Amino acid sequence: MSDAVVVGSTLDTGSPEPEEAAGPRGVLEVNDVMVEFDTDAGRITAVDGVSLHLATGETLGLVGESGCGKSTLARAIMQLVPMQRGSVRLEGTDLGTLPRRELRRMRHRIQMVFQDPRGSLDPRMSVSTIIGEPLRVHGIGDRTSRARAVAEAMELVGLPTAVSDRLPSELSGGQQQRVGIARAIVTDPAVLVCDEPVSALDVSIQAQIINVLDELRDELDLAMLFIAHDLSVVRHLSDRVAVMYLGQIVETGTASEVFTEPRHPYTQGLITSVPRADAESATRLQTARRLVLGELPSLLDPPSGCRYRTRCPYADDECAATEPPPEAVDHTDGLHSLRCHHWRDIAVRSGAQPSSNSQEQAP
Amino acid sequence: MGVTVAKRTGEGPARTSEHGVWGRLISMLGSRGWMLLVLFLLLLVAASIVPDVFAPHDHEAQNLRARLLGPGESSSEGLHLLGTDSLGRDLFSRMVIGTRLTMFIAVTATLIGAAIGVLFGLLGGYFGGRTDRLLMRLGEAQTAMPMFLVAILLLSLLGPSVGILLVVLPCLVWPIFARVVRAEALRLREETFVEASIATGCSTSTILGRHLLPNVAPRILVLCVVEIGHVMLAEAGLSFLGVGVQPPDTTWGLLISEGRPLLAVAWWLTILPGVLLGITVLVLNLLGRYWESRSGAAG
Amino acid sequence: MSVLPLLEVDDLHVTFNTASGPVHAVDGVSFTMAPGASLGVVGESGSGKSVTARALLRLFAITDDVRVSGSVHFDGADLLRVDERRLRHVRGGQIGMIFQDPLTSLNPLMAVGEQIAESLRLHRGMGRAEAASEAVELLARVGIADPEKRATELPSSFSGGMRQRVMISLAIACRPRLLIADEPTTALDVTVQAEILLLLDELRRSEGMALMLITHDFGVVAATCEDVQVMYAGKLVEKASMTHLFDRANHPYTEGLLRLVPRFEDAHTGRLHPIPGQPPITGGGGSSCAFAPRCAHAFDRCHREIPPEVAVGPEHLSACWLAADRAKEGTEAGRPWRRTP
Repeated sequence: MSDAVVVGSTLDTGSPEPEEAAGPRGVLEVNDVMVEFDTDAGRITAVDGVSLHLATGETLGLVGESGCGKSTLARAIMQLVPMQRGSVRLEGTDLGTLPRRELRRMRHRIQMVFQDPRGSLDPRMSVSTIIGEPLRVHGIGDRTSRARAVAEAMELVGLPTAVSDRLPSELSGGQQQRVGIARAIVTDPAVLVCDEPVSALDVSIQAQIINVLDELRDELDLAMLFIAHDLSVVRHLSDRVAVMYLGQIVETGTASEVFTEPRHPYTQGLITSVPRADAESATRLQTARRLVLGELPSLLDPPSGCRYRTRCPYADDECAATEPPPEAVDHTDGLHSLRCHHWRDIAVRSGAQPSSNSQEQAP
Repeated sequence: MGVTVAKRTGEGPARTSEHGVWGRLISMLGSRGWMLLVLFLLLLVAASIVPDVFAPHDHEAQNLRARLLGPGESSSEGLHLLGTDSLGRDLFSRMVIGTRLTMFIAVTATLIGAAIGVLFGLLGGYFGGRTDRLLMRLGEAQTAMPMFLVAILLLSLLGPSVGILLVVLPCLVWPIFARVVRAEALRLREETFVEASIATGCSTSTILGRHLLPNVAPRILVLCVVEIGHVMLAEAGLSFLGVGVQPPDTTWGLLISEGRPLLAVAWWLTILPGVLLGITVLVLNLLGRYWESRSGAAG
Repeated sequence: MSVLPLLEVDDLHVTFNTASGPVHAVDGVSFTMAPGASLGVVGESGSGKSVTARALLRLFAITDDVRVSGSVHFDGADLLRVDERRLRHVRGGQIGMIFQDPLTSLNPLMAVGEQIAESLRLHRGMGRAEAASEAVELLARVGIADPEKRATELPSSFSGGMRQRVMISLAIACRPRLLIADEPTTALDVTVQAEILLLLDELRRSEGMALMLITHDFGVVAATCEDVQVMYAGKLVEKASMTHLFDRANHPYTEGLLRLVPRFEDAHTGRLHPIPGQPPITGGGGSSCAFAPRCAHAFDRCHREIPPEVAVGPEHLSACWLAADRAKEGTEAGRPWRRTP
C-alpha cells in the first residue's frame, strides 16, 4: 500500500534524540511537537512531545478521550496554533519556520476536514463557491478548469450537481460534511487531516461519510490523519493507530496489532470500554472498570513519571519516579511501541475477542 | 381525544426589539404599513432624482404679491399646497428641491462613516490585541468629545460648505458602525469556517473581505438605514445654526432655519419642513429596526 | 408472564405544529414494561425515541405547540390525563429521568447535596437533617468519592462523568419505580461511559426499578438491557429481547443499523454498508411504510400500506410486510455481527 516502508520507533522521548532516521520517512513528519496554552487557571501543556509520521496512501488513526490533546495536535500540524517546540515537515518542508506567505502557499498540500460540518462552511457562500475557494486563493487554473475541478470533487464525494448553488443551511448534515471534504480534496492535497469528521453525524450518515473518506484515500493516494474518539471507526479506516493520553502518545502500532494485542494498560482499558452489540457486553465493561481507575487528572497538574499511573492498576513507585520512554515491542520491526515500565509483565488482553475471565491477571 | 399540553407563546424570546416604544410601534404596523413606509422612502428618492416632476412651481420664482400665503391658498401661479415664504416662493416646491441635498448629504456622510467604521471594526475585532485597543480608544475618545460643538467650531473657522459637512458628519457615526462590526467580527472569528479558511490558505484580506464582511453586511445595511436618519437630523441642526448648508442651496434643515424668525406669523414655514424631517427620521428608524428584527428571527 | 405491567403505553401519538407544518414525532407507539424490566429504545435522531420518553411525563417546552393522544398507564393512572399536582408527584418521585447533558438539569448555583436533599424533602417528606445525610449516602451509592465534601460543591466543579453520577443520584433519590435515561452517555468518553452503564445496571438490580434507556448505540443497549425496541419515523419497527435480536434481526432497518456500524472485531474488510438516503424530517403520519424509500427489499405494497406488527418469534415483533418470510429464511446477514467479508 505504501511505498515508504516505515522503519524505526514512531515515538520519541521528550528530550531531543540524535537523528535516528536519516532522510524523510514519509510525506508528513511530526517531530517532538509541544503545544502550551494559557488558561484562566494557569498554563497547560496540551501536546507534550508528540512525534509521528505518515506515508502516502496511509491512514494513521489518532484516538484518545477528550482533553488528551488530539485536536490540538491536529491544529498544530495545520499550523493553526503556535508550537512551543518541535517541527512539522510536509514533503520535506518545515512548516513551522516558513514565513507567513510561504506557509499560505504550502497549505493546498495539506487540508483539513472539521468536526462541525455546518460551522466549518461560510453560511453566505454557495456550495460551489465554498468548494472552489481553495483553487481561487491559490490561483490554481482558470475559471473553466476550476469549475471542472469543483464538479469533479463534488462527484467524488457524492454530491449531486443540483446542490451547487445552495447555501450550507439548505443541506443535511451529511451533505454539509461532503462539502467540507470536497473543499479539502479539490486542491489535490498530499495530506488530509480529519478531526472527528463523523462524530457530529447520525449513525446511518456516519457510514456514508466513512465510505467517502475510504474511497478518496484509495483513489487519490492521500496520506490521512484520522482523529476520532470512536474506536470502531478508527479501526475500520486506519492502517496504523496512535493512542493519546494527557498530551502524549502512549502506544502506537499497526491497527491490527494495537487493537488485537494492546499492551499499554490504558489502551487495553479503552478498547475494552467500547460497548459492543453482543452477549458479553456487560462482562467486558466490568473488565474495563478494573483497567481504568478513578478520574482523569487535571492538565494543570499532570502526574509525575508515567502520565497514566494515577489510573493504572499496575502502577508502582517506579511509575511515579520516572517517565517511561517509548519501547518497541519485539518482532514488530519497531512498528509497535509504547510507554510503560511494566508492559512485559502485563498480559496481552485481546481487544478483538470477547475477553474470557481466564485472562484476568491481578496487578 | 387529544390533550393539548402547551400553547405557543409568541414568536420566541429572541426578539428583544419587541419591547419598549419601538417594539410597540413595530407591532402596530401590519404588512401594509411596511409597504407604506417603503413607498414613502421611494417617493423621497424619486423626488431627489427628478424634483421637477414633483414640484408644482419653480422653487426660485419669487412672487412678492403672494408672500406668506398659508397652506392651501392660491396665487396667480396657482395653488400653493403648503403655502409660500416671505419672498412668495412655493414652500412645497422648495421642500421637494431640498430633498435632493438633504438626502445626498445624509446618505453620503453615512456611507463614509460606515466605511471607516466597518474597516476599523473588522480590523479590531479580527486581530484583537493592540490593534483593537488602539482603534477602540480612538472611537471612545471621539465619542467622549462633544462632536457637535467641534463641528460648529470647525465649520465656523473654515467657513461652512457641503464638503466640510461630509468630513464632519461621518465623524459622528463611524464609532457606532465600528462598535457593531467589531462585536460581530469577534463572534465570527471564533467560528470554525474562519479557521477552515485559514487552513485552506486564505490571506487575511480574503478572510476579512470574503468571509467576515458578507456575514456582517446585513447588520451594516440595517444600521445604515437608521443612521441616515440621525445624520439627517445632525445636518439639519448644523444648518439651523447657520453653519451648515448655505443659500441658495437648500435642505430641509435650512428651510426650518429660514422660517424661524417668522414662526409667529407663518408657522407653516418652520413646522411643515420640520414635520417632514421628523417623519423621515421616524420611517428610517422603523424600517431599520423592523429589518433587524426580521433578520434576527431568521437567524 | 402474568405480572401486572408497570408501564403500559397504548397508541401514543405526539404531533408538533411547526411553522413548516405538522411533525408526527411519535406515530402510534404501544408497549409495556414489567416492574424491574430493562428496555432499550434505539433509533436515530428524529426517530421519536426522546419525544416518546418526554411524552410519558408530558415534559414539553412551554413554546411547543404539541398534541398528544393515546394513553400512558403507569401504576393504574393515565399520566396523560392526571392533573398537574399528581403529575408532579410522579415526575422525580415514581419516575426518575436523566438526560444527555446533566449540566442543564442541575441548578448551577446550588450545592449538589442541597439539590438532592431538596428533592428528598419534597417527595419523601424527610426532615432537613435526615435529607442531608441521605443525600451524602446517595452520592456514595453512585460512586462519588469523599461524598461529604463533594455534597457541598457546586455542579461546575464536577467533571462530565461525575455530573452524570450526580444526576443519577438525584433521579434515584426518591426510589423511583422507573428510571428513564435519555442518551445518558452520549456526551461522555468511552471509559466514563462504561462506568455509568455499569452503575445503571447495578442500580436497576439492587433497587428493583425498571430502566428505559434511550440511545442510538446497540452496544450500549447490549450492556444494560434485556429487551430492545427500534424506532423509525415515530413508529416502533421491531421489538425483541436483546439476545434474540442479535441472532435474528428481522426488520430491514434494524438489520441496516446493525450492519452499518463498523464492527470493532473486524479489521478493514471493505466498505461499510450505509443505509442510503436520510430519515424523513416530518416523522411519521404517512400511509405507507416510512422506511420503504430507503429499503432494499421494498416492493409495491410497502409504498401503499402501513405494515402491521407481526410476531416473528417468541416476544419478537416486526413491522414489515416481509417479516414472516424473513423470519423463515433468516436475514441476509444471518447473525449480523458475524458479517462475512
